[in-house]
Amino acid sequence: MRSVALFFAAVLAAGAGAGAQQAPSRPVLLNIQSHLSAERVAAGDTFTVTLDLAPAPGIHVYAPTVVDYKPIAFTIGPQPGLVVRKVAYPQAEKYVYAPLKQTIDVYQKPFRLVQELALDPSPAGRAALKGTSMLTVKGTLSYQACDEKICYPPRTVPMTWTVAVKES
Amino acid sequence: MRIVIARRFALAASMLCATATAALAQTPAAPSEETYAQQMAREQSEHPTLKIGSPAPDFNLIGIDDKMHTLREYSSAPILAIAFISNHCPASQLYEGRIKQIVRDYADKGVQLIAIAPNGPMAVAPRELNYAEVDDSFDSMKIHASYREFNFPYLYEGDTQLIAHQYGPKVTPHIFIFDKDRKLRYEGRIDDNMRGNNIKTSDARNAIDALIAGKPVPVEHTPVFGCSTKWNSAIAGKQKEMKEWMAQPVKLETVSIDQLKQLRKNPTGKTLMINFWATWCGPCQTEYPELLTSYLWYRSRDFEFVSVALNTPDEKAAAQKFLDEKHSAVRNLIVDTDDVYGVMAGFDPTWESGVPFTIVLAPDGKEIYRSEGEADILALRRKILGVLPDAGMFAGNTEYWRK
Repeated sequence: MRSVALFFAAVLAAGAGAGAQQAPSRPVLLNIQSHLSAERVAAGDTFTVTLDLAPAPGIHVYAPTVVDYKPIAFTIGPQPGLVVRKVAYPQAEKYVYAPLKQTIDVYQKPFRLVQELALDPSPAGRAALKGTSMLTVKGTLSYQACDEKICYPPRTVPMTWTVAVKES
Repeated sequence: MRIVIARRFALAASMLCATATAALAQTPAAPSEETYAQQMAREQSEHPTLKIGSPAPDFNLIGIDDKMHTLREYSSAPILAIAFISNHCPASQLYEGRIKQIVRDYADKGVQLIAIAPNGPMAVAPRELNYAEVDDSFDSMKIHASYREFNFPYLYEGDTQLIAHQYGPKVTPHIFIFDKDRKLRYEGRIDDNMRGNNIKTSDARNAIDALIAGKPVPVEHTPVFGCSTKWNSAIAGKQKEMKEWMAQPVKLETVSIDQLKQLRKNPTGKTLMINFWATWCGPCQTEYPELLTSYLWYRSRDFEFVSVALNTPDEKAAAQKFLDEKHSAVRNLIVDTDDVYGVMAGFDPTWESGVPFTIVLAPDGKEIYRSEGEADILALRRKILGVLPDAGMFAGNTEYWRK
């Protein structure tokens, strides 16, 4: 078995859609920390990507249950050899926006998203992983943040993680 | 206050008519409706002005201090002056400073001045608010009086107008001055020059000075000029403008970033308000109706409003739905790209935050107002009013808004 140090890189580049121009200085609306639950995995092994997210003071982001607003979405792109399961979103907080008499599901305090993944143990999965020693997992975190008086454009943050693949 | 330039001469003629009263038409009648002169004559017959020598009608009206005020409350003052004024009327606005000065000058001479707002708020059409930052409602009176630092009681009578009917103010401003027995000794204008310069006769002061001296008031009645009193009986007639507005289509036009850059230079030749908003923005939805109202009020004065949805092209239907709900019958735009940050940087490189984003540009493109986040509607309107050109009749009003 190979022993390869976990290599993790997350690219945080704010922008929405393709060809995004970088604005000179954008406020940090959501602090993002992520980590993998395992350094090395074998076919059939389950592991997780965890995002610890902390909205900036006064800021809220929208929970997946909202209607008419842009909900937070953590998405791992499909790829051969990887099984992508559901994301666990925590219970939302209720935010009362009095001017519109709305009660909206948001996250205002630090919260955690957990994405469960597995190396595909099926013959097709094993074939896809054959000869792979390091698997790069790509995903995006999309969110849109507001405070009481201003709403910031939606942001999509591309992220990547790399996990060592054990022979099995 | 809508001033239709073509009608200025007709209005000037009406000011010289035999009725010896003058009030500025704010809603020129359609050919099939009564003329302005007919309207004024009808209103005068329906709400005759209190005659000289008549006793002051009693009242019990709410003031902007949220307390009720009666005629008896002022019984200790030998002279009582009641000025009928309004928030919205540019003529009334131009007299506020002089009314405050009368209060100051006669405070220790036994003169009590109070003001009454007689207009029914619903009887003032949107275009008649084209010199106003607030309407004529009671809550708006508090805002206006606070901002203008009124030093006199300001009472509201717009709902029933029963007291106004008994006094019969023809316009705002129209002043009534009573002696110690509360007999009417003078009614009419405050002085003979709305603009405040070249005043030849300070009629109200002359009346007050005569009463203080125990002499007959030399001129008991003068013609008035201002904005006609907005009687609630005219509410139905004021709805025509809104019906016409609601009949206009609501369109959403797709433009490029380059076209937005051109818009930033203000090619309209008018004062231009541009508001960026989005369907995913709560504060945008909150402020939008007030921005639209501002446009309805000021559009007769070379003022334009363009809205820009910061939604992406695939969200055009949602943007259209919002605009339909608000009946945003102005020029509405949506940009043809997903690159929202590119749109922001392309329009204004210093725009760093989000929406709502409101900017007001003078006809020469100079920025006169900017708000990143929900706009302070009152500050916005005051800025706009401070740059819209005066119609000659209200020269001085632009300066009034630059306070």
